[in-house]
Amino acid sequence: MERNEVLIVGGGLVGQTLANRLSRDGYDVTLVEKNPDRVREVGETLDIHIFEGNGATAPVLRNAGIENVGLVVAATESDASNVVVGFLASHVFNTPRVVVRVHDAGHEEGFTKACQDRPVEGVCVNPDTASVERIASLLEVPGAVDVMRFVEGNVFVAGFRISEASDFAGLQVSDMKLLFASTPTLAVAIQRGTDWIVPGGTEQIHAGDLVYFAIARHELADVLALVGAPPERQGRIMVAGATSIGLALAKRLEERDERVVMIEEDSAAAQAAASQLDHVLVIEGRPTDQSLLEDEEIEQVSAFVALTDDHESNLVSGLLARRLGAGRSIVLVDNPAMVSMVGDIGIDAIISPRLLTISETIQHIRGGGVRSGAALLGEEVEIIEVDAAKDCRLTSAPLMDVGLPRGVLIAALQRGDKLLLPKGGDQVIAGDRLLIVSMNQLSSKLNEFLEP
Amino acid sequence: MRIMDILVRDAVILDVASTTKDGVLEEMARALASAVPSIEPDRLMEVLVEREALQSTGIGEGVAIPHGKLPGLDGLVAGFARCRDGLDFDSIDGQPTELFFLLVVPEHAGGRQHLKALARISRFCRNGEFRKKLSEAVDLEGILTAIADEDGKF
Repeated sequence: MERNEVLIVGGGLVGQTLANRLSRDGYDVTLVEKNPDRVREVGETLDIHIFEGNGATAPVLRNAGIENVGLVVAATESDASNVVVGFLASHVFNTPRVVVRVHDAGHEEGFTKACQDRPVEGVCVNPDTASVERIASLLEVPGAVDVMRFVEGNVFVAGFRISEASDFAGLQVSDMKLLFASTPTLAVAIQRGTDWIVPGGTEQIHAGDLVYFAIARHELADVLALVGAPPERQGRIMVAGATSIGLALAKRLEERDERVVMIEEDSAAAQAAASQLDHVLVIEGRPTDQSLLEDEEIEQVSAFVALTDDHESNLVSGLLARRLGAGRSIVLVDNPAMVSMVGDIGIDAIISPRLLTISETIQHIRGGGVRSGAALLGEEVEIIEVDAAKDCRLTSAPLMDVGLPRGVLIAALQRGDKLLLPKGGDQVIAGDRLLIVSMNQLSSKLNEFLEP
Repeated sequence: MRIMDILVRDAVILDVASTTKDGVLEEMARALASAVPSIEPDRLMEVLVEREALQSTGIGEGVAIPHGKLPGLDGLVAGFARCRDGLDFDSIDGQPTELFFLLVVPEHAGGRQHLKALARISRFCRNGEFRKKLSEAVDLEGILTAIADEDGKF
């Protein structure tokens, strides 16, 4: 990026995490926040410029230096404020790139359309849409704690907890090349305890590791067999919470002809949900009510998805459902402390809209080269999908001579309709679609290889 | 799946005569073919060489797991061979290869058994104790005991 200055409006969890990430990546970050307590809190923890004021007003943005920045991110908790920030940046200050967080599809449409004729790039990141997308992917892969799709859906990246009984326990990462010769099916990241590793070939996989595999789509069933994932259970999907995410998920599942039951505590919300959904049974009640779950034959449920606005209650109902025999529990949790402990307590997968928002925002920050995606694993490992630019350092020599640092892995290369795992002797050429996994702290270094 | 259940005892070669990659493949293919009548040795050799051309099955630490699919086979079969001095098998770590497991699977068996057997043998061989036992075995019984012990672990 020519201009390295970034302005973030909104110092909540998303704004703070982004500010931290970007300043670590070498960007010059200014954060605008109107709440003085929060300004103080952020000032104590992050080494960035902080500007106190309402970012949805032109003078505040001007004083915070918006005229010099290459990118504005509107990440307050209010859709309306974010859209105003977005409009001011894109239409008044002509900021080259603007990313706006909105939950409401109407705001999303308005802002996106308003930017179409402007010489600026304006995009929306919708945490609800991102969450539904992630849950839908998870439901396709039994046993996974996390699932993302890349390269037009041809490569899954899925995380699995490896048990002693798994065929992967005790293997070296390079052994996967024996099992899946020449296809991009490979372990690309490992979480061991609190440490994250982007593994080299000689890294050994241990029982207890959380291993993220890149998986060529046609080899998904093979990997599941080796992981020892439980066979996919046929049965209803239970969605707790008629929230915007809950409703969007139910609609999505309805289109796929899944049988869905929704539980909503609030009577009016339950009725509203029932009127919007044709084939979903909506039940009024508390998701944490054991007898209700039993009455609804929770033991026959293939997946229980807790999406209410009360995240602690989501954890409780998720655990309860699992204990009562649900095949799988997927739970919406956004508190970072809860996110990190979830693996230890028996929830199968968590959805954090905050993390998803950050992932998507970073994807846009990476600019035009990044295609379908970027994702973060536990805020430590980054996965990006990118088209190799003409005359970038990565295309200058065979991979083994390019000098990529340890901790950066090219997990897949698509050239035309050929998808492969690049070897050291292969040379990337401009236009190749690449899936790259790297440790976060290497992302600015990685940029040196990707920029023309 | 236990490796002992698929290992063909007459296809265990304590010390190979060959000193080359193709030589050891040939020796193992012949030994397995004479014990399993439905295997045609030249065809097996072709399949193995084809697979090696894709990428060497020398997984490093002195181990190789050549493998392939053949029509007309009833089930998975495995052989073993040892070359005490080690030989050049284009192994991924560039080191000489001493221990060889040969795995042959029916062509239409579907990939899973094949993969599970390959993964299991790889897992065994990532254990240094196991490799040591195979290297130091003085007779066929020593080899079989080492494999049976490992089979009993998981």
